[in-house]
Order: sequence, then structure tokens, then C-alpha cells
Amino acid sequence: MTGKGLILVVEDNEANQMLVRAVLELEGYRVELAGSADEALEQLRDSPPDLILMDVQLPGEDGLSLTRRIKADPATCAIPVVALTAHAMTGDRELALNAGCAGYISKPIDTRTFGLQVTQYLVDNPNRGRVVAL
Amino acid sequence: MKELVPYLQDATAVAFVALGVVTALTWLRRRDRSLAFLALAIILLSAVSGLGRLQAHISIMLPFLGPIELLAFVGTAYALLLYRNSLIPLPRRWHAAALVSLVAASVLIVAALALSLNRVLLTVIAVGFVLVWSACVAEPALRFWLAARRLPAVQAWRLRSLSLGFGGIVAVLLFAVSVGLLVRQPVIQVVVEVVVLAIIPLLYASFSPPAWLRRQWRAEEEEGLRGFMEDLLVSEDRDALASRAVEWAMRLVGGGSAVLFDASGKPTTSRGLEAAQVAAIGVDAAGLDEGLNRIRLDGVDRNALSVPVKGLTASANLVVLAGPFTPTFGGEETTRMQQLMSAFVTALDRRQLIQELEQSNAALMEANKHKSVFLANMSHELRTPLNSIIGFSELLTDARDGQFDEATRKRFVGQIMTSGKHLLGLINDILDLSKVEAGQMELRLNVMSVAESVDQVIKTVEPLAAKKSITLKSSAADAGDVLADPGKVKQMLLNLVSNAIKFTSEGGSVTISALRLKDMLEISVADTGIGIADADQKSIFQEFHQLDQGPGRKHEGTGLGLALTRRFALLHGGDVRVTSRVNKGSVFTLILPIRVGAPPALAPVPVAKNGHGSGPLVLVVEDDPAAAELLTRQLVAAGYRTEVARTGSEALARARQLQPAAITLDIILPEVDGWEVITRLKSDEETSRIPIVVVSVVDNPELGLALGAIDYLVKPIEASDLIERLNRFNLKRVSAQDGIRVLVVDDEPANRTLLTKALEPAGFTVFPASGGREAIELAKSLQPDLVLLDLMMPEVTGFDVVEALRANESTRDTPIMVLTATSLSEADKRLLNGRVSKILSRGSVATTDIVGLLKRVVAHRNGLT
Repeated sequence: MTGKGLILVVEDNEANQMLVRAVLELEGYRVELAGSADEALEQLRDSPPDLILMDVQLPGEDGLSLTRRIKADPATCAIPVVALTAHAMTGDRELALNAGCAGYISKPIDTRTFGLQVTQYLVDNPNRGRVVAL
Repeated sequence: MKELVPYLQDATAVAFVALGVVTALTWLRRRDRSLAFLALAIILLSAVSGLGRLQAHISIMLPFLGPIELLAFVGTAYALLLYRNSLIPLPRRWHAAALVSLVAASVLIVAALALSLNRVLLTVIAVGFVLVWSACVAEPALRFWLAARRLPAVQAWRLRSLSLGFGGIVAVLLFAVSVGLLVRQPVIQVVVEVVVLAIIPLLYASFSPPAWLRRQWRAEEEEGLRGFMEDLLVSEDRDALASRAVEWAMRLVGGGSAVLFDASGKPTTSRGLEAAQVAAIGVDAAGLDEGLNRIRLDGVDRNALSVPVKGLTASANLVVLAGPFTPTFGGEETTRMQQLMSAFVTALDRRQLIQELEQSNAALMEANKHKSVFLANMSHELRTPLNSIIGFSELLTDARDGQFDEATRKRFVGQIMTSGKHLLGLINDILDLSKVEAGQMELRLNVMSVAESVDQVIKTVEPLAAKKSITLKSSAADAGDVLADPGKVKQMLLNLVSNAIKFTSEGGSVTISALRLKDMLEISVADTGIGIADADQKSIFQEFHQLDQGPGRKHEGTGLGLALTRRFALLHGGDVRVTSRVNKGSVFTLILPIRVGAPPALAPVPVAKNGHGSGPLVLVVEDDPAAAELLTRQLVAAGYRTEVARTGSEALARARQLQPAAITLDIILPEVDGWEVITRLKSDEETSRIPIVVVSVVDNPELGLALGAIDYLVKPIEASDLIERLNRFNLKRVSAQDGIRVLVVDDEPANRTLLTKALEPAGFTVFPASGGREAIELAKSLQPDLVLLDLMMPEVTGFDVVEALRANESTRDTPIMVLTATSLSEADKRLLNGRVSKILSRGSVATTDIVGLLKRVVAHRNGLT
């Protein structure tokens, strides 16, 4: 495994895609982008990431529903999913965690600590390093 | 014991006579035909008793006393039979048989007495006579008793007392015949007299029961009524309740039938009446007095109680008619009926009010829910662009030299700009909505070309449509002109068209077409998109309403666009309609009146010739005598009294002293300036409630003092918008060689640079000035074609600059364009923290508007106090 790991960013807003990619790449991660649930599933099949950053509001199937599917699928359930969303009202964090997210980061992000936060979720992942049967 | 008997006999006789006299008097007073036979029976019975006792006290034998007494005795029985016949008809055969028996028995006994028959025979005949008499009296008594079993309490008790009274007489008589005549025991005689004495009140009660007794009879019904009152609180069915209320009113007062008329006189429910009878009562119903009435029904006068029923949500008139068994109607019954009906109608009102409360509560909850959803959406919508604005700026700020190449940096900055613009659009929508909601959105009406507007909108959305390969078509060339606010029309169309594009999938089409009708202009935007279900078509125009809500909704937006569009259309006197089929597409039609009608006339204010009439007093604070004169004339012509204050300190003193209905205030004043005056007026309890209208500079060309700016712009300024506006004014050039010379006055260097960058490429020559003083100097020396002026500057303000330029011969005609942070009124309002009712911007408001505004302000104030 080269670098710090592969992160799949599921996000439909172009500006935010670019921002998250720029910040993560500065931190040394490799980044794959997906603009919708379908694209994300495709990416998951082709190159399973170490972590998924999940926007909630997506065209078509929303991010929480996609998270539930990822968590229900034995092939992908070990990959930690972190919600990255502008839904920052009371209860939104619980919604995300109930859907199976390992964590929740609200927008706007702090680019100075964002990399650390992501790294933390990777380190905390109990499934890290475990061999996943495909 | 023996000595007691004659006294008791006397007492009985006296009581009977009293009963007869009272009954006769009562009947004469009321002349109630239905009670005539009963009255007669009672009077005759008392006559028998009285005459019999009279004979015992006088020594001489009165002639014919025996026959008279006999006749009265027989008459009693027959009168009671007739009364029974009037209430419960007696079969003709029985009637005849009774009459014949009575006559025969009477003739026999008279004959037996006259012929002095032997004792045994006489006794036999006498017993036969008594039996016949008793049968004729006992039959009605028994019949009444049986009838009472099926009747409500009040009527039943009246019949029972009648039955007991006459039945008692029969019993006593038969007892006396069988026992008393044979065994003349004093004890038995005493018992008989006492029983008879007890019977007398019963007879009276059956004829004319007193109020207290009727109340007692009613007590039994009151028990049952409680259940109805409980039902009143819970039952939903108004008609069923009304019907039961009528039933209970009838039972309570012992009425025979009843009908309830609604407020318009239409019968709503009735009991014991046929349709024709109800109609007949209805004819008289309106003319009935409250309380006791006589109603002629089927040729018979009937007693009736009429009670008006008044409530918040229902009013009616209840009429209860006396039936055959009804005891007396009186004030007591009227009162009780009123009590019942007002309790009934109060319960109906209560139910109605609760329903209304529940409905409005549900509507409020719904609105509140929408607001919460809106807030959540808004938070999301604001955070999304903020994420890239803050994120990219942080990245750029923190970047080491050479970390990002030039292209990357440009992309980052481009994202910041795009997101910033998006955010601005969002905030403008919110502000627009709050303005519309506060009733502060004003239209700037102009004659505008529909085709031009449509073209502009199409140009704006072309890139958006091209991205989704959506075909844009338009046909608006023949739509002509319309009087409307061009900015708002464009905004409405833009909204409808971008919605159409948003909800149409790739390869679809969006068509804008304008149709000119007689008074209306219809601009429709048709798409081939996802469509809207019928059930949702109404709610899409509600503020804060989006069809797909919550996380995962497919389409971005604040949920304000359509609501705003509709509000704008309504402001124009038009509307927005939608027709749509799911998966086929939608057509949104914007309807605008071709000529917006005159604003609704304001309530006329009494006209006062000079400043001393009766209209509301306006304190005009203005240092310029000419401007003060102009304002005063306009106000007096509109019916106000006016007083003028020329300085700030004078204004403060006079406001306290005069307590005017409103104050018009110039901002530029000697001594104490306008802002200070407002602050002091608002901090003084005595003057804090007086509305203030700021008239910073009055547009008054008549006096050659038109200090008005020709236009104003709102920051942040779009360069293209600025150029377009400048070109529109066809500015006069001082020197033909140069471009148009613009003096840009702004204390913020960034703004000066921005304006210069925007203007120079378009061929303008820009002269920057960083303050008011410099601006005045430059304006005099350079003689620019236009001054772009920021109003809010330290030291010498934009207001000062305007004044100075107007006062100078060489710069008097130089056009001035005012730049403010937001629209002038909004900015100044914020500065004043909402303490000013209204601020007028110069040049854009005609003098008539000031008068109209004052009227509104004064009317509002009067409405409050």
C-alpha cells in the first residue's frame, strides 16, 4: 500500500469535490471521486478504499441510504464511512451515525484539521488491516 | 269529636266556595277556551258543596235549592265529561249513553222525591243516581291517569292531580254512600271531611298550577336533561343536537309541540307539528313577542312561548305551543326555556370555536414545521457554498510558495467567486421574501418590452440549458409593452425558466411564449420535465415548501423561488398558474395586467385650508424655507395641519410640546442633525411613539431645487449592469475627444478600484476621489459628466457632497448617481436600528408618494392608539 491510503469521496458539488481532494492530497492520501450513489458503488467494486467520505444530499439515492447498503454488504461493511455534510442541525449527526457512519464532519470543513480528523477515523477503525474476503 | 264535625263541614264548604271563586276569576282573566269545561266542572262542584252547607245553617227551607243543587251536581259530571271529550275524544255512542243515563237518573230521583216513595225504593234510586254520576266522573279521571303514563313529567303531573282530585271526590262519595249513610260515626265523618279538604288543592292545581308546583313537576325532567347537556359538549352533529334541544325545551315547560326557526325565519326542526302547521306558525313567527303569545292554529287559539336564541355562530327563534295537557305557561317557563336554549347555543359556539382553534392551530403547526424545514434547508444551502469559500481561501492562505501552480490557484479562486455569487443570490432571495412579507416591497413601474425581457432571460439561461442539451424556444415578439417592474419581471421569468430547466431531463425542451389578451399579458413557460402531481400543485407556491424534502432530496434550492415569483406577480395585480402532468411536463403561466391599476384610494382626510384645520398635525422639520413651504403646501392640500421647525433643537422642543401625529424630518439640519434628532426623539418617552418620515431631499422641480440623484445602485455591483445603466442616461459630454468622464467618490479603496476596473474598459474616463471634500474640489475643477457617489463616508458625507454640488453654479446640473451598501432605505434603516418609519430615496419618489406615505403612517398610528 503506497502513501497513507485510498479515500473515496462521494460528493456531487464540484467545488467541494475539488476542495476535499486538494486537502486530502496535501495530507498524502490518494483520492477517488464519485458524484452519485451509482458511481460510488462502481468505485467500490473497482478499487475498494480505506475510507469513504459521504455527502448526505446526493442526486438520486441519498448518502445515508447508500451507507446503509454499504454496511449491509459483507464485501464492503468493513470500510469506515464518515458523513461529510452541510446538514448540521440538531439530530443530523444521530441520523448519520444511525445509518452506520463511523463519524460525522459538518461543512464548512476546517482545512487545517480536516486531514487529522480523517486520519483519526482511519486509525480508530477496528477493521483496519483485517483481511476482507471478497 | 262530634262537635268537630260541623266546623269541618263549614271549613270544607268555605274552601270549596273559595276554589270556585278563584277558578272563575282565573278563567275570566285568561279566557282560555280549552279550560272552560274544567273550570265549569270545578265551579259547579264548589257550588254544590256551598249550597248544601248553606241549607244546614239557615232555618227556612229555600225554594228550588234542591233542584238547583242537583242540577249543579249533575252538571259537574257532564262538564268533566265534556272536558275529557275535548282532550281525548269520547266515542259518540258512549257520550250519548252517558248523557241519557245522567238525565234518566236525575229525573228518577226528582220524581222519587216528589212522589215521596218509600224509604227503600228511594234509597235504591239514590244509590243508582250516585253510581251513574260516579261512573261519569270516574271514567275521565281514570282516562287521564292512563294518559299521564305516556306523557312527559310536567304534563303528566298536571293530569295526575286532575285525576286524583275528581277520583278522590268519587271515592269519598262512594265511601259515604256505602258506609257513612249507614253508620253515622263522627270519626268517619271527620275522616271524610279531611280527605275532601285535601282534594281541594289538587283540583286547583289541575286547573291552574302555581309556578312553584310547576317547578317541582319539572324537577324530574331536569334530571334527564343533565345527560343532554353532557352530550352537547361532545356530540358533533348540530342538527341532531338542535332537534334534541327542542325536545327538551318542550318537556321542560310541558308544551305539546314546538318548532325552531333559524335566523332567516326558515324552520329547521319541529316536534308534534305537521308541515302545514309549521308553515302557518312561520308566517307569524317574526312578529311574536318574547315570552307568552297566542297563536291561531287550525282555527283555534293556542298558547305559545316564543324565545329568541342568540349565539356567536348561530341564532334562532324557538316557539313552543301549549298542548291539550299543558299546564299554564308563564314567566317561569319562558325563563327556563331561555336558560336551556342559551346553554345549548353556548355549547354550539364553544364547539365551533374549538373547531376553529384546532384548525388554526393545525395551520400554525404546519407553518411552523415548514419554517423549521426551511431553516434546516437554509442552513444546508448556506453551508455548501461557504464550505468552498472558506476551504479554498484557507488553502490559498496556508499554501507555501509554489505549492499550487498558477492554474490551480486560478481554479481555486474561481470556485470561491462562484460560491460567493451563489451565496449572494441566496441571501437576496431571503431578503426579498422578508421584504414582501413585511409589505415593504415596492414596485418600480416602467413601460417595458416583453420581448426584450424574454430575450434577456434566454441569454442568461442558455449555458444552463446547453449543459443539459435542452432546447430553448421562445415566441414573444408580438407581446408588445407592459407597465411593470422590469427587474421583477425578469426575476420571475428567470425563476420559472431555470426551474423548467432544472426539472427537465437531458434532451428535453423549454418553451417561453407570450400572449397578449385584452387587459392581460400571459407569459407561459412550458417544459417536458418530470411534472407535478395534482395534489402538490397548490403547495408549490407556499413559502418554505419543497416537494422533495429532507436529506436526499434531488434538487437544490431554497424553496423560495416560486413563492417569490407568485408574490411578485400578485404585487403587480397578476398571478402565476400551473398546469402539469406527471412525467409529461409543466406549464407555468405568469399573468400580468397590461396596465397596473391606480393604487386603491386612501380614506379621505378632512381638508383644512390653512394649518389650523382639524386634520392630523404633522411637524415639518426642514431648514430650507422653500422646501418647507413646498412640503407644507402638499400636506395642507391633503388635509393635514402643519407646523414647521427649522432646526434640530427647535424640532425636539416642538415635538414634545405639540405631540404631532407624524414628523417629516430633513437629515441635513443646522445645530443638531437629523440622525441626532431621531435618536433623541426616540429616547424620550413623550415623543418615542411619534412616527418619523425622513425626507432627506425633496424632489421639487417647481422651485428649481431638484437635488435628486438620477439613480442608485446596490452593492455588490455587477459591472455589466453598471455600464448598461450608464449608457441608458445618454450623458452629455463636455469634451468630444475624451470618453465620458466619471468622478468616482468612495472612501474604500477596494470599491474605487472595482469601479475603475469596471468603467475604463467600457470607454469611461475615471477620476477617483477618496472623500467628500476631495470630491467637491474635483467636481468643481474637472466638471465631470457624472458623479458616482457613496453616501456613507466619514467626515464630509455623500449628503454634504450633493448639497455642495447643488449650491455651486458650475456643478448644479452635474448628474449624480448614488451608491449605497444595500438599497438606500434598507441601509439607513439598519443605521437607525428600525427607529424610522420610512426613508425616501431622492429622485425615485414623487411628491405625491410622500403624502400617501404620511397618510399610511398616520393611519397606522391612529389604529394603534
